Amino acid sequence: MRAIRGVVPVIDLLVFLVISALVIAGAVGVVMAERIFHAVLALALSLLGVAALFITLGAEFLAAIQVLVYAGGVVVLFLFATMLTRSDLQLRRPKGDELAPVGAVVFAIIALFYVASSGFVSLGERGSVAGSVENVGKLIFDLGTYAVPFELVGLLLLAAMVGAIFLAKKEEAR
Amino acid sequence: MVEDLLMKVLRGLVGVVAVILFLSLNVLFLTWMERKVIARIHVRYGPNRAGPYGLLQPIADMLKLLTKEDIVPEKADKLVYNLAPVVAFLFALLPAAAIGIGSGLIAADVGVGVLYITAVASLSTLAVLMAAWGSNNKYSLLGGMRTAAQSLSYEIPLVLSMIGIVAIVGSLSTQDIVAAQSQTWFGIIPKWFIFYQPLAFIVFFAAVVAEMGRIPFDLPESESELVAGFHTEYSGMKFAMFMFAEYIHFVVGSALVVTLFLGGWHLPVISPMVENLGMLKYLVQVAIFVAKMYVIIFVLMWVRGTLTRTKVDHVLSFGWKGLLPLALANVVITGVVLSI
Repeated sequence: MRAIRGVVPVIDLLVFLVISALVIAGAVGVVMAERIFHAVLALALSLLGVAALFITLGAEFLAAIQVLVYAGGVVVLFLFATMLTRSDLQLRRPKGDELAPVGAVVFAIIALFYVASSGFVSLGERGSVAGSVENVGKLIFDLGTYAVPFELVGLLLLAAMVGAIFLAKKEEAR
Repeated sequence: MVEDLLMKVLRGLVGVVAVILFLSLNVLFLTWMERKVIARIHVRYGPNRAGPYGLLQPIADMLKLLTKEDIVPEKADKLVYNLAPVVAFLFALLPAAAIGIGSGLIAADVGVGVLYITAVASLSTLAVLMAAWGSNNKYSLLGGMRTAAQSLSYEIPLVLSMIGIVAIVGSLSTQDIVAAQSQTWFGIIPKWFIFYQPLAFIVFFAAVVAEMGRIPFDLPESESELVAGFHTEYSGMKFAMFMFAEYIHFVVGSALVVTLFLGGWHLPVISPMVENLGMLKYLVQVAIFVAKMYVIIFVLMWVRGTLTRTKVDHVLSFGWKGLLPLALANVVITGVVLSI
């Protein structure tokens, strides 16, 4: 029995590795894809993978929001915009990308150091309800915590939206 | 621990099989029912050759589609084109997991229930856009762009109209929402949310029909101008998968209306009577739920037989200028009433 009991963390690790591989594959796809449309689809894969990672950490609310806003909203808008461009549009690689692997390695090392030095939440600590509706709501709306920054971000987005509409309307009038 | 895990895996598998079986049977029946109902509205007979009352027609249709030649357009984006029907089918199945057809009869009682459902339901737009783009056809592309504009516009009133209910219940889980509607006034009038939130019901119903892409909101595939919209280039089994996904949306949307506004598997006089009947209780619950679901489905077919298609600009302005303010007003009213 004890031998089987050791299987559970292994399954956890496997799930984590598979999802992480999907996320990274999606991210690489975004950069490497030759067509914009494929790049956006790869982005969707990556974002859905992140949502899956949220679920493995017990943050169902964040996962749902991630899917609703990013995969269901932002990516659809990207695709929508892509459809307004020419269908034979191919992305041209900038010249001199021989150094790209070096950049990737350097970035990976920096990211690894950053993750190692910050508080790394392992899968064993999931089941914590940090991402539940109640806790997220308290963080956003309790005055002591993030209420003011949250409202400011909302104001900023509103300003950006009004600006975008203004620019689009101006274009129309010309 | 290990036993827990095994039970979890087993329960998950049973749930997956049950959801797919439930949806498939309903979809097969629906294709027949839709043709029959529309035919009666047109004063025709509808399918009446295969089996009694033409009931075997869906099976004949399936066989026909299975054996048809699979045509891939030469200029298509092959990968995206072939992937789109599979993705559409998968994303259509996902929301059904969090809808219960009886107390405890649910594939996955997700804590964020209705939010999960709207989130994964919004993904099916992705599949439509993939089909539209991959086909490399102007009609597909136009249909796909209409889908994107329409589903993004109606998602907002859809989510907003659910906030009132979530605020009253204090939970996002579909099981909790149905449980909150089990009471009655004087033992006869059910305390369903359609009576507490009539405004939200109207908004939700309209938005759900728009998300399903049915008449009067079926612009994405309006055959008079776009041939068949996003699935113009699809044939055989791939076309069948799109049809299947569409009817699954139909079932799931109707089930969601029943869950949120019509008391799920509760019925005033009958539900208390079967409370202590053991297994029979679950049978009655499923029967009540399915019956209610088919009332909604019938109404939607009726609408299809009665109304005409709306113009695309009218659909969008109705969403933004009609439904959105109503949904916001409902949120404000509910908030004020609840805080008094």
